[in-house]
Amino acid sequence: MSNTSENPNPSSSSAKITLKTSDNELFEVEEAVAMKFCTVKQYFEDEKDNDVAARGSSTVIPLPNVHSAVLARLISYCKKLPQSNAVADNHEEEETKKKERKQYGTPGDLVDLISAANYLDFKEGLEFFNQALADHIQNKSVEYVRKFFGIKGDFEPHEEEKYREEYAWAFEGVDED
Amino acid sequence: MKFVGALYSVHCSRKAITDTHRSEIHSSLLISGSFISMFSPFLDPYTKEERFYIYLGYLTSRGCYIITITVTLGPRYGISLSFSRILYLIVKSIEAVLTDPFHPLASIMVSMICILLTDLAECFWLKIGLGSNVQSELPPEVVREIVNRLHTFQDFVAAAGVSRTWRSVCLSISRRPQLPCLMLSETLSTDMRHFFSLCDNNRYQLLLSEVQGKRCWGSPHGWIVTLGPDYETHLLHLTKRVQIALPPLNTIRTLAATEEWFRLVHKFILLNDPSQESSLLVIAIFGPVNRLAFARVAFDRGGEGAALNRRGQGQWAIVTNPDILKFNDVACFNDQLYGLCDNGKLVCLEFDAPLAAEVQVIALQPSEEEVGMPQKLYLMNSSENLFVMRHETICFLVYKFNFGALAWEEVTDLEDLAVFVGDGNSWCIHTSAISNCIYFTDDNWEWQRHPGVACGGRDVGVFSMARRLPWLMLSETLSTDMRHFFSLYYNNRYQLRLPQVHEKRYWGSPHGWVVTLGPDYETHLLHLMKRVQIPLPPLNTIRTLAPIEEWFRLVHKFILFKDPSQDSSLLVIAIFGPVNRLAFARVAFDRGGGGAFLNRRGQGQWAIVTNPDNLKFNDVACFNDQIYGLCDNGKLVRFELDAPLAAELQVIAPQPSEEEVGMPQKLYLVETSENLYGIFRYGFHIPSKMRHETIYFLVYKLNFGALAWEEVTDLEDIAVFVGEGNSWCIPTSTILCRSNCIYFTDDNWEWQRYPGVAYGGHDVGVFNMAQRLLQNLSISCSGFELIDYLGFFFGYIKRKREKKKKKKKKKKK
Repeated sequence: MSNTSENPNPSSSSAKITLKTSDNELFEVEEAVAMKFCTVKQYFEDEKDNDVAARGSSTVIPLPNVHSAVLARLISYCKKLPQSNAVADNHEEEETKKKERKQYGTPGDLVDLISAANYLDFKEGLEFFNQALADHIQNKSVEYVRKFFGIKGDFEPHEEEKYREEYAWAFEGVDED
Repeated sequence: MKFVGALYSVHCSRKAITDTHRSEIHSSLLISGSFISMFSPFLDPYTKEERFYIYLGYLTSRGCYIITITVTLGPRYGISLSFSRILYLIVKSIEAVLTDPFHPLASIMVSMICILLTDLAECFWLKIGLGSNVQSELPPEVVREIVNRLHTFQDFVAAAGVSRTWRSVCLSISRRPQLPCLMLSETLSTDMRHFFSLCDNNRYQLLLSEVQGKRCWGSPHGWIVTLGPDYETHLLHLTKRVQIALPPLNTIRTLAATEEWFRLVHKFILLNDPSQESSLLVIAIFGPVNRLAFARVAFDRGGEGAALNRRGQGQWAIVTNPDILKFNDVACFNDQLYGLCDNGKLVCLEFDAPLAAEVQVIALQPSEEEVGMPQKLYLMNSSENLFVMRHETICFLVYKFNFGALAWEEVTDLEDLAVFVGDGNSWCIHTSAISNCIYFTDDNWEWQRHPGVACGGRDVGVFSMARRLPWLMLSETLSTDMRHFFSLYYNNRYQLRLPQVHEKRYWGSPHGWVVTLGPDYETHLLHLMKRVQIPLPPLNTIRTLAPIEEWFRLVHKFILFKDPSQDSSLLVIAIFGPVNRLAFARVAFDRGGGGAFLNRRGQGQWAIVTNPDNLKFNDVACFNDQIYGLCDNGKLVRFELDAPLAAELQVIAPQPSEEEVGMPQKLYLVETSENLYGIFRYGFHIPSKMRHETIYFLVYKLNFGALAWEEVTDLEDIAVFVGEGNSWCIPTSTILCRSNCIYFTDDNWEWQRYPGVAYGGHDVGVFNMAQRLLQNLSISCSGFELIDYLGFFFGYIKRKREKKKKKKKKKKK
């Protein structure tokens, strides 16, 4: 579906790498983008060692753990990446970044994006999405976080009660879900 | 593997989890040791996907491992499987579950189907073999990253309450970066303490009856040390409220018999014992000569007896110190203990080697010229570096230890570190939220006479490494050597004892250095923060050219630059005499081979700039490594210091027409990274009040294309500082100063007849370029009267400029 839309200039000189997602979708991406994914890079380098690199872009790198919808978003994030990860100098900049992070905010998506970024060993992305997620659960109730991540509270009731009593101040005054 | 087959069928199609298949799985037999359970699908409210969980368990003699397989049935993903967590439960609780049908975990067991798994390893094989598509639950290392990014301690503690995985993740984060809390002091009688979280600026309350009436020392481990009037010391964990008694202080008290209880120990430092896990090393710096003692505290975790006979177990052991080094701080770096002694000597400490020397000197202190007289020294380790801080109430200098060269190196940027210094441990954390700052609390108990009366307690604040400017030094009567400084950034006043400026005239600069001139015609360079003094060449050559001038009127202006032709040396320019002539001298800092430049002009003497047209110099600036002077009523000249054959002076731009500028009283030349500004100051004298008043400023910018001055009405985002010393400016995006403003101080010594009688000194203020208005400096200090603030501005902006230059160079490339 997105093979062509991802590549407005197929004639550009930079090398292309083809990635194959779990649902057998093929993505042709620029090498610079693909090399941001350490897993892909590693695979690519291993291939080189095996003298298969001659095949160039015809090599298809399978990514069995990544769904096409997620990969498309990761690639689009990758493309507008360069400035967005420098440490913020002042408060204002930090605020704009927070807003930027909020755009990726749909909770389920974020979890998927992080899983994929983790699998691909895509450091900048992982950092960004992790921070986005951290922003999300900031000052939220434990119940919200559980729902958010689809986690079941697996503490025994008396255990949980004890913890909440011990650190009561941490559970007070949280934001509305 | 019957089980694998079943799961594969689940994987095949959505139909796979119809009742037929489920019953198929149900039909499996329970064979002791392993079990599987499956829950009916539920709709995930966030992702709008249908999910169900399969629990796969394996019992071993030590406990039970459970693998949760999440099956997601979504429009996007089809069916996916993931093995997401492995929990360790104690056997006992599993047994309880098996016997109690109403136990929450029993629901797992109700639909329990057990299948035979020969080994746990096969579970992992399963994981690989099945190849999950999308992990709906995050692996622990990712959860760790997320939890690590939570900003507040509150969130952090709450996250530990989410689930067991999250709890274990939270516990595994050892540095807990989100919790720098400041414990506020209270009167001794109350047991309610307030904590201020620096990350979310929130205040927390904690009932702490244990610290009532005691002195406390903090640490980054959650533990604090308390010392009471009965000389009893305790370790106290603030959130867990555990109290552990430390050994009695008898040995320490015999060595410092006359000290009162609250001054006996200056500093308690808590470190994780490098030689033994799960035990703390408590280090005390005590007594009148800052001696060192230590004690070990083991937490009872199983067999502790082995370590019982080590030094410092159950008693305070005194570190033998044959050279009588005065300890300031101790830190642990790479499992090795280091101490900081005297004025910066670094020693290595060895507590457990009875034959080796206990104290071993590693590096000598930095030269006195560089550091001057610090009040307090702190030592801390980041993960890679060892830092030393010098605290001088108004300024911190930071040195990094170079382990290769075994020497200290000054750093001006702490990058993403936030540093905490004060009474207790000195420590730092990596953070993006509050980085490149030094947080300090009062650390001056040696001046305190009575416990609880907060003689100190007020010296608390943040020192931002990037924003150590600008300062206004206030003048005093000549007889005192105490000087007041006013920080325009923090809007706060500081005191500094500066005997070096006693009865002298001085000129400021943005480099941290000032020039002093005394009645004996001796000139010095003085670094105000480091308190280092460097003599300048004698003024003989200058005095022969202006023989009748009194000492305080001999030189009108000293200007300091980084020498453009040579790094690490300063260029001092003097405008002197009745016709404002120019002289310069070079000051090289001794760093390795300085000899090469010794025979250059101005080295070791004042060189007079030849001036055939008798131009009257008003100000000098260094722009793009070229030195420019502003003469007469606005003529711009460029001069060469080192070209003996070329003309020294070269006129660049003529002065603006007389109609335009009239008769300015003072002219200043200010450089930014892109522009050169000429600033014209207008004012008048009020002889009856013996004072001078500035009323107006005009600003001209040099047009380098047309080589002419152009008037500007807007300074954009810069704030300009003019006065007696260097004229300089800073982009206000970096500080909280008012932008588009000219800050000015008095500059009228030629009207002064006697030194010290402040004829001027009142003419201080801000000129707002946008409104063309003069404003007072809003110096708001309680209990402080500004009688006369004959002062100057100085700052410390070395780093900023260098950065800008680099950027420019890059652009050029």
